[in-house]
Amino acid sequence: MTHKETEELIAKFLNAETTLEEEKLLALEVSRSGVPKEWKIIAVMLGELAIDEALFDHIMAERAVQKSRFRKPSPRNWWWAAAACLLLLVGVGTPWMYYNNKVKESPLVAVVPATAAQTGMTASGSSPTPAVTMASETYQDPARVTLFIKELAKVYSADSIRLDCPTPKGKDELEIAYLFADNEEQDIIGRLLQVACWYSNRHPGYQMSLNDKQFFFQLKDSRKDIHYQWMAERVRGHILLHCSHTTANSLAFSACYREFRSEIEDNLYIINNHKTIKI
Amino acid sequence: MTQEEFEKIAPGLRKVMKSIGRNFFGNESDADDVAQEGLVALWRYRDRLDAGSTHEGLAIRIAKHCCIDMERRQKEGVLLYGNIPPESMTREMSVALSPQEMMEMEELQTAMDDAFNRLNPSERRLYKFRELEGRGLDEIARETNIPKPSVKSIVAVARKKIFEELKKNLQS
Repeated sequence: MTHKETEELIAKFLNAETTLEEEKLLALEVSRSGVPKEWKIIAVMLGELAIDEALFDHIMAERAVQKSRFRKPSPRNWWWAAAACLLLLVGVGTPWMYYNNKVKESPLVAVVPATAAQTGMTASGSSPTPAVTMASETYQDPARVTLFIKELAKVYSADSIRLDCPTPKGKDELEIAYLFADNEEQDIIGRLLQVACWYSNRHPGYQMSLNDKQFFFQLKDSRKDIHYQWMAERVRGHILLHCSHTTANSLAFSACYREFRSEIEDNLYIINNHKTIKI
Repeated sequence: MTQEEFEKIAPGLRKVMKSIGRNFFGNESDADDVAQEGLVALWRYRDRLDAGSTHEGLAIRIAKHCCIDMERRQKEGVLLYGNIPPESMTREMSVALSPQEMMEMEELQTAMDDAFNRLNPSERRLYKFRELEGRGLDEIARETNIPKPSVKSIVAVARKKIFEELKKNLQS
């Protein structure tokens, strides 16, 4: 609620025009810390019972939403999932078909041992030869996940925090955390799952896990020797999404992130659980 | 309400409170605590309760308050902050009010009680129905046989009187 909306609700409250539901909303607003003095008067007038009832109902409503999302997916969600799969099929299938046709047209690909190809050798011979690549699978750049997340954060105006970790990092290394709202509209974990499904499970370093609290996904880019990890966690009504790009031998989830996560959790707790007001 | 009247309605209200605690915490032991604390709080309110009514609405509100309060107490301590000992917590980490804020709220509360006592009896009665028991205007109108527009106007007058009194107190 904006400041103006709260002021309007206070005026309605003083005229006894608010419903019980509106008074619950008002109770949540005026019981926050650092509010104007007049709002504190309204908090005292509403009383501790009304404020805690509003908090209780808010918590139970959030729990109900989370339960329904993970236990009983609505048919509407299945339609979305089906549509997303179809889009993925079209998106991945079209370039694949195109690639297959091209291979048929140019059969003069040199056959070399895999070890030679990995060390970057090219085939030599008298006939014109195309450069040899390990073309058994299309290269799927892991950095695209982070680009997708950046776009998502832009669309939903999510806070992004570049972690200021004490250990020096290379130019390709980074640790960023995003704080999204945990709601059905944004469905961050659902979207990340769709993105993870787009990658081949034979991709180097592919690892994915999901439960109702956490989504974890990792990939390796053998070309650039970068290890990518993404972890989305449910933290007090928010999704805390951590993106980490590190060289393969450094620790992915740093102590720095753990500290940051703990701070965020504390701050969200204070925001969510307004100050105690004695009546 | 007398002690006998309270004892008559207590078992029913205990069940209601326990079920709210069970829904919130998901276990019997915490649910029992909620019911117990709720009944004690309700007992403290008994002077303000009218006999002949079930007061289930008020019991539900009190039970919800007890749940939040218990949760708050648990999270204020080591459970919330992992291995940080409570004495090392910064003020910002504590959900309790600072001494200055606490004093300010206590003063406001005293002024609130004074302002409430200065209301005329009908304003006091309807204000109590609305703010303490959380009843809607329709319900109050039904219970008191006062037309809804009159209930609304009396509650509005009472709220404005109290608000102005508290504002004056805050300014002085």
